[in-house]
Amino acid sequence: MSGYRISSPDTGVRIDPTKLLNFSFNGRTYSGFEGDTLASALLANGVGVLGRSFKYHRPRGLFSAGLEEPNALVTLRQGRRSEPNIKATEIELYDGLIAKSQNCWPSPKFDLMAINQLAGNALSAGFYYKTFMGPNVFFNKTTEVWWQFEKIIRRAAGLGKASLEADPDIYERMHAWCDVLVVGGGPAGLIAGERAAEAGAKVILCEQMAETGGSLVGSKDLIDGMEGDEWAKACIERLKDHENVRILTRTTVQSYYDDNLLHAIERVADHKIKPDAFEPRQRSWKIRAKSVIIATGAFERPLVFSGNDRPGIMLADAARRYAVEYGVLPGKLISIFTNNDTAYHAARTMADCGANIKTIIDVRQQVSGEIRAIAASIGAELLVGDAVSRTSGLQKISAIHVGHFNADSKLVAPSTHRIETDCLLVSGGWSPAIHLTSQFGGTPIWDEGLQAFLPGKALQNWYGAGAMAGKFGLANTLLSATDAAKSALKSIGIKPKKLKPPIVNSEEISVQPAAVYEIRRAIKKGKSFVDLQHDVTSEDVRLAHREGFISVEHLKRYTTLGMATDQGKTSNVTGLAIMAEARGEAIEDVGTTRFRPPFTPVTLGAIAGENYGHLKPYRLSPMNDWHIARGANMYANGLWMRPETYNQSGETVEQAYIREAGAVRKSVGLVDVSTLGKIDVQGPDAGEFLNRIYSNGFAKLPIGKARYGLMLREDGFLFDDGTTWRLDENHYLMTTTTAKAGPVMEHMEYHLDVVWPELKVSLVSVTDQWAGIALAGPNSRKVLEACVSGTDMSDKAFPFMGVRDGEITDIPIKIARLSFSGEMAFEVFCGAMHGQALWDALMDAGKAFDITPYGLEALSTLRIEKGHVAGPELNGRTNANDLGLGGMVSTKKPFIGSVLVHREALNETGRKQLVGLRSLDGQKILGGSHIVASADQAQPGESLGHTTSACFSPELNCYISLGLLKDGRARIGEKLHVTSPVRGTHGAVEVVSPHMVDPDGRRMHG
Amino acid sequence: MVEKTSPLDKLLKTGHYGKPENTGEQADLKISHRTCESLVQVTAWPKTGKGIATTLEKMTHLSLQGGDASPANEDFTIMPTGPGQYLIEAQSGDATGRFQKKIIPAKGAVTDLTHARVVIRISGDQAVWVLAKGIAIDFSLQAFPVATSRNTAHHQISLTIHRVNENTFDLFVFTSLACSFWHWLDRAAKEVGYEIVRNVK
Repeated sequence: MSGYRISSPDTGVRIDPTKLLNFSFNGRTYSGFEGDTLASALLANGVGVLGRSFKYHRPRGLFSAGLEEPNALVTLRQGRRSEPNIKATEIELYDGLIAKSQNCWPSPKFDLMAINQLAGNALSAGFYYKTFMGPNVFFNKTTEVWWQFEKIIRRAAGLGKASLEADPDIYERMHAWCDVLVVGGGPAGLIAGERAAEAGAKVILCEQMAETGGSLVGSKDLIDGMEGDEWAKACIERLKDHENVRILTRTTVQSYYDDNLLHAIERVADHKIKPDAFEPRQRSWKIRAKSVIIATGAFERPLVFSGNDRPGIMLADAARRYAVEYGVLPGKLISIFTNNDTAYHAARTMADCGANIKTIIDVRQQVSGEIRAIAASIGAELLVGDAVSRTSGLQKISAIHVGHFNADSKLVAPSTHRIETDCLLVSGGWSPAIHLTSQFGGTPIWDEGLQAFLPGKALQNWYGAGAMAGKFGLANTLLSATDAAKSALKSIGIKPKKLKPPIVNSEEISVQPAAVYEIRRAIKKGKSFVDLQHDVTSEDVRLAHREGFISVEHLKRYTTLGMATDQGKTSNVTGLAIMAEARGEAIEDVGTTRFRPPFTPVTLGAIAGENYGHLKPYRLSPMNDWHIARGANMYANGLWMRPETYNQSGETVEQAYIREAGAVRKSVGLVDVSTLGKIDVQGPDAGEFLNRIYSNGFAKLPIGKARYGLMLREDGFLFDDGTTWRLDENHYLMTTTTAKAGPVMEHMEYHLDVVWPELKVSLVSVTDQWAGIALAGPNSRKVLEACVSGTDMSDKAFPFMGVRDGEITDIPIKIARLSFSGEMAFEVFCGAMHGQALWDALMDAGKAFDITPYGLEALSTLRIEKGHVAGPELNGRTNANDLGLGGMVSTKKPFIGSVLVHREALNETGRKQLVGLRSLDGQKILGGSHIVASADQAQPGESLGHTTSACFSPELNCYISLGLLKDGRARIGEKLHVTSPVRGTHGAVEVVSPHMVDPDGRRMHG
Repeated sequence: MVEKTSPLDKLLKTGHYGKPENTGEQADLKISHRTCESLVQVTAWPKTGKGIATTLEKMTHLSLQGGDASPANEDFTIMPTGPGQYLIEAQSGDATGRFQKKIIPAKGAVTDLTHARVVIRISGDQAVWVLAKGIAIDFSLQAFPVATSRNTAHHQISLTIHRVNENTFDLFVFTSLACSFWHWLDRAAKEVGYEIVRNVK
């Protein structure tokens, strides 16, 4: 056992010893207290080995007390809620918690994969590159070797395993605005937040832990005469009283984006066994802040020496926190190894809590009298100018070996002391948590005194406070935070209140460390870890240097230093320092990588938010419920859900659409066309506007008539088609394809607003205003005659392309005699909320004619037979001439695309033209097949074009297709082949006119 | 005339949903929906904006104060949706025709959108909290005062929001997207618990 719970009631300010919680770790039951983290509870229970390391499977224990933890990653919960790679230091303990170690089998204490430790240098930096993409070994078959070993390596690599089951929890998003966002609820954040709130600013304060207070938790330092802990609690209560303040605890600000947009994750229910009913597990906040105060503190760094990863080795301040905040000591016989004064503060605090601090080893050649006095006061032996050269121990540390440290050579002499210890606390200086400031651009600045990077120039409206800004010590922290608050308020035009600075009575300890990062031995023996999470050693860094990967960016990628879930929070600076030394340069000249969002790992659920089960919203026609009740296969067509076919019992989709299309040709069918884009075009200049938008003339379209129109892009290619109905002198109703409704609206709005703003035209999307039903087939008119009132449905009174108003069962309707199917057909529109009633009325009226509802497949079949183009032909690469619609391109007026449509390239021979294709051998034609001349499937030869829309034609009783074929119109009658090498099909076809049914339009006009 | 059928009729049944209500108390958050008797978009031409505004003021007895002000009385709500552009809800079914008579093509255009939107009303202290989950606008009273409106979008779904009072909002949602929007709103509101009530407009 390497740790225990302190019995003193003065320690453990975060826990409630009266509330016992039981939890399970690696199948064994333990107990802890409310307020514990999993880490503190395990430490209290003497669990020293929490998992195994990434590459070498070395035993690892707790190293820190916060989000920077590199070692103690566990899999939390089970089943659908199982979540890997969660830091034990961040898991709030709850009754019934279940967690297990990772990357070890069968247990963390005895792991078979520890055999990797024997692989030694083989697993060094660049392992994959060297082994599988390296020089010609294995008979130049390195890639094939990779194929052989890939599965094994992939199984062995990585840490935890994600659940394959669907996550049952709810994740939400939230949008928020504020004047001042305060990131961090420590002393700096609290006072900055209060100053901003008192000035009347709307404040959001985010604290990553369950409670605010930060370094003041358990602090005996005095602020305005109150102990730090007490002051922090009073401050947060005052903040809560402000209506203009929102305090978000368990909330980590992850990212800093343009325009002062910050992203935070609130862990709403992660501290519970499961969320309450309807409660989200996590909430993703997008916060738009006018100004930001960043008070994120600093991370303590370790020192690098041989065997520095043994369980029982821990950051000094983390140990202090465990003692003060959770009432747990990490060992019974503690040693400390440091290069700075702050470790002494930790030592004294721990000693006050009852810790037995045996030895303090300080690499510095000299330390102050005050520091010596602290060591003496706690009864610790002080070894100045010495260093830990290596450690001993099997599953955990049992002894350290200490020798004299040469500050010039950075070498430690052979050990002169062997010190028995079960816990070694290390402190290598402090790195301000500048991540958010770095994410948004400002290049970090090296501070020689602090041996750390400080925030660079503020490229947005943020202000640093406290340790993050390099202002250590309580008095400095509070002063810098009040200054930051003043600046933030002034920047957004809010006058700060004149308040007295708080009176601080605390011991100010220097945080300036000696510039010592690594303790090297003359004899290279043992591993010295820089990045504990990715098992990157100091030798890996030097290897990268020797192999030419000397820039910090290359160093990171080649060694994986600073990657993984901790993103190098305890290792980055040390790694840079070792690379700088290898390069013979200063750290500031080597530079640092730019931190990227997120600050800590974010669950995929929080990113997905409400986009679960579907990735986009859906649009429903007014008749949607009827389609579903009728057994339709609903099909996503863009955002719209549309019936594909109405399958009868035992029918396949193909059988269903053949039956439906056949019924239309034989009698009458109806199809829901509510999804068509519909645009209301009004105004004195509406006709002129349409004339400029369409390639064919619209200026002379009579009232009560519709016209098929072609729309081109400026480059002359086809954009969309549809019919436009003239309802009145100044009023038109345009229809577009379903897919292009939005783009056409944008296209027209752009031209109206930007190109022709002088035109008096109104464009309003009325897609949702109108339900649309197409009635097609030789009996379609008879159906309408049976139910329409208010208009004469005779052929003479209602000719082809006519538009009329009428009524069906009191429902006002508009009817247009149009045909997409090639049959006599009508489109009937009514108000969307009358759509179902209209559909029912048409179905009733059509009973006598065996009316058949048909879906998208039959709709497509009918138009393919007729040779009408749709999306697959209007594919952005075709022009009107390609599709046989050249006659619709006016030469008498200017219109969008009228100049470039006449480009030579768009009219040259050899362009692909629309043709029909009939299967000659009964084989199904697949859309997207190549059209080739060769009958040999193995040698199909040059692609002459491709099929666009294919189906079985009930009218022609064979498979047919539309296609785009080089010089297609001149090849009608030729026998070619369609081939799809990917799908393994090859069949004979005859090139025919695309108008395969009713080419002269007799049925349509009949 | 056949009754209008809203796509939300089948989804919004009166009752309590989501987080259980406190004993003996009703949920703070109330949601109802309605179809419009009349909903029109009025568009002025570049130089007829003032004339159209005057016409609308005379017809509705409302004062158009410019900007995003969206005045309402018992008969009309006028929501500016762009320069010279207004979305107007009227409580009578013949309002579209009346607007069309008064606003001749030389002055502007009137487009009937009665069937194109359904209106969801959400009210209660928690209304802003629920709406802010998905709608990226600042709901503070300073940024979004009472009797103003916003055109915005949620998750690709366009909507117009009219702030009726501090805690009451009318959401004008595209009819075809109403079910999809409701799918989100229902889920968002369940955290606090809500009650579907009959339309109170």
